[in-house]
Amino acid sequence: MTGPASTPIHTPATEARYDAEILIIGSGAGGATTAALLAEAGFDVLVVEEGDWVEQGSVVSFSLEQMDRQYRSGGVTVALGLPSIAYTEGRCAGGGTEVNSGLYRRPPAELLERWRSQYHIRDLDPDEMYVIADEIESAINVTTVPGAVSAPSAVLRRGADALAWQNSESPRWMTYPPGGSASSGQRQSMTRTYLPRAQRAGARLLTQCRVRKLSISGTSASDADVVLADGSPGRIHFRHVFVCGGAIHTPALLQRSGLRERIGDTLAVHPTVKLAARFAEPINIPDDVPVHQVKEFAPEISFGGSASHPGLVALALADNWGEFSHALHEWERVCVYYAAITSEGKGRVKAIPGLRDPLVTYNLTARDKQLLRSGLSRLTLLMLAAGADEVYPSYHNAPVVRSSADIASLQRSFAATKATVMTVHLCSTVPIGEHPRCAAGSFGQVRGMRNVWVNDASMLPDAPGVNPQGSVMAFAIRNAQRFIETERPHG
Amino acid sequence: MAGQSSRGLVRPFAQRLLRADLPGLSEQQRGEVSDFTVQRVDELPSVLRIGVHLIAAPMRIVVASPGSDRLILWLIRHPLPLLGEYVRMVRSLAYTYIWEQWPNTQPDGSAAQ
Repeated sequence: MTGPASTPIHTPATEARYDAEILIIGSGAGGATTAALLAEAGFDVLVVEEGDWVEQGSVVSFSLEQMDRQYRSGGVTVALGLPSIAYTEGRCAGGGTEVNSGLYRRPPAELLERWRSQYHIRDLDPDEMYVIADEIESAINVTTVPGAVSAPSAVLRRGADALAWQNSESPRWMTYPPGGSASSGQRQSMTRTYLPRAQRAGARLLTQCRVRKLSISGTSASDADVVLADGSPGRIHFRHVFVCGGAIHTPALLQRSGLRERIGDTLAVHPTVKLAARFAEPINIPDDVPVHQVKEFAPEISFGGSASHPGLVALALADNWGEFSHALHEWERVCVYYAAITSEGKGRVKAIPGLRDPLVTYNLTARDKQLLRSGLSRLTLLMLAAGADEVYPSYHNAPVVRSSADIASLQRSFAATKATVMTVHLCSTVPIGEHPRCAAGSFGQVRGMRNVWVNDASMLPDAPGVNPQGSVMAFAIRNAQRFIETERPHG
Repeated sequence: MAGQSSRGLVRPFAQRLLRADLPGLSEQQRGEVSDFTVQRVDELPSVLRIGVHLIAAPMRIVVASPGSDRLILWLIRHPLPLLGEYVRMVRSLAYTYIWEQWPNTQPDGSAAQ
C-alpha cells in the first residue's frame, strides 16, 4: 500500500477509491508534522490536501496571484459580526506555512501552564514541550536574520526604543545563503521540511482532493467522501483519521459528518487593526514583512508590521481616501503596521446543510473594542516616535496624524465598527482537554470517537497571544507521539 | 442564488463606485478592475456569496435607476451596516488590484505622469 520512495511527492487525486491506514486531512503545520511522525513510525499514511502544490518562488509573496493560487477563496474570507473580521487561510500543500509571515514563537511557559490547569490537559509538561520545540526549531531552521534587519523592521525597533517599550526580533523559519541579507531568506515551510520527510518515510500526498464528509457508524469513522481533482466523487477507506484542515474547515467537516457537540462553538482569533505610516526616506519592502514585534503591552496588545506592496498600501488608505490618498504618490516611503489584541470574544463555525462552506461569525467584546482603540492609538504613537511624517489609521474618516496631539482626535473618533479589522490567526474550534467544555481529549481524540483525531490550530484551547504556528506544531507532534505509543501499525 | 454569477449584480455597482472614487481611471481599466472584483465575489465562500448577492441585488436596481447618482454617492461614502461592508469589500478588491497592476497610478485613478 505504501508507495515507493521514487513516487512523486504529490499527485492530484484521480482514483475513485483509495485505502490508507492513516488518513490525514490537510497538509499544513499540523497535518504535515503528523504525517512525518506517523510515517516514520511505520504507519501507512495518506495525506489529502484540497489545494494544489505550488513551488516556492513561483509566485510573488503577498501578491494577488498568490492569493489566487494559495489562499482559500482568493484570500477573501470574513467572519461576520459588528464589525466583521476579514481573515485569510492557506489552501495549498503546506497550508498556511506557505503564505504566512514565517515568524516563530514558542508557546510561552505561562501559557502552557494556564492551558494545563484551565482546560485540564493531561500530561502537558512544559519541559517535554520544549524538547519538542527544540526539534521543531532545528527541523525548520528557526533563526534570526543575518546582518541588519529591513527598514520597516527597524522602524518598529526605533519607535519602541524611543519610548522604552519592550521589543525584539522574532526569529523566522528561514535559511539564508552565506553572506545573505534579511531579504534573501528561503522559508522552511512544510513543503520544504515535514512533507518531504513524510514522503521519504513512505507517506503519499494527494492534492486537489476535498473531503466532503466522514462516514461514521457508532464511535468509528471508516471512509471519507471526497471530491477528486476533476470534480468527480471518490472514497477513501481508513483505520484512523486525523483532521487537520484548519480552525474553520476542521470543525465544518466534523459537523458535516454528524459530530456537533462542542465543535465549532469556540473560535478564537487575534483581531488586528492597522495603519499606514509615511517616513522621510524610502522604507517599503513590497514582498516581505518586518521581523520586529513590540511586546510592551503583551499579551493583550502586540505590534508588528504587515506586507506593504502598493496594492496593500492602497487598501490601508482606502478608509479615508480623500484625506489619505496623497500618500500613494510616494508609496515607497509608506509601510503598513498592525496592532493585534488577545480577544475575549468568541466566534462560531457552523456547517450549513446544502452549502459547501460554513458560516463563520465572531463577536468582539466591549473590552476587545477598547483594546483595539488603545492598540491603534499606541501604535500611532510608536510610529511618530520612529519618525513618521504622517500616520493614516485604517478606519472610516480617520484623521491624518502628524503629532502626538492629534492622537486625542483619533481616540475620540475611533470605533471598531468603522475599522478594517482583520486576523490571520484562527484557532480553538475543537479545543483539547479533559474539561467538559473541550471537544476533544487531551491528545486530540474527538469526544465519543474511537478513531477520529484533530491535530491542527483548531485544537488549541484558546488564542495563544503569540504567533500560533510554533504552538500548533508542538502540540501536533506531542499528540502524534502519544498516538505512536498507543497504536501499532498494521502489517 | 449560491450558484448565480455575480457579474450582473456586482459589476454595475463596481463600475459606478470606481467612477466616483477614481474618475481618472480609463474605461478599459475600469472594466478590467470590475471583472476582477466579480471574479473574486464568485469565489467567496458560499454563505458570504449569498449575503453579498442579497445586498447587491437592490443596489443593482438603485444603480440602474435614472437620477440615482447623489444617492449612490451618499451610500458609498457612509459606512452603513451591511451595505457598508459590501462597499468596503468592492473598494478593497478594486484598489488592491489597481495598485498591484499599475503601482504608479495617481490617487484619482489617472495614469502615472
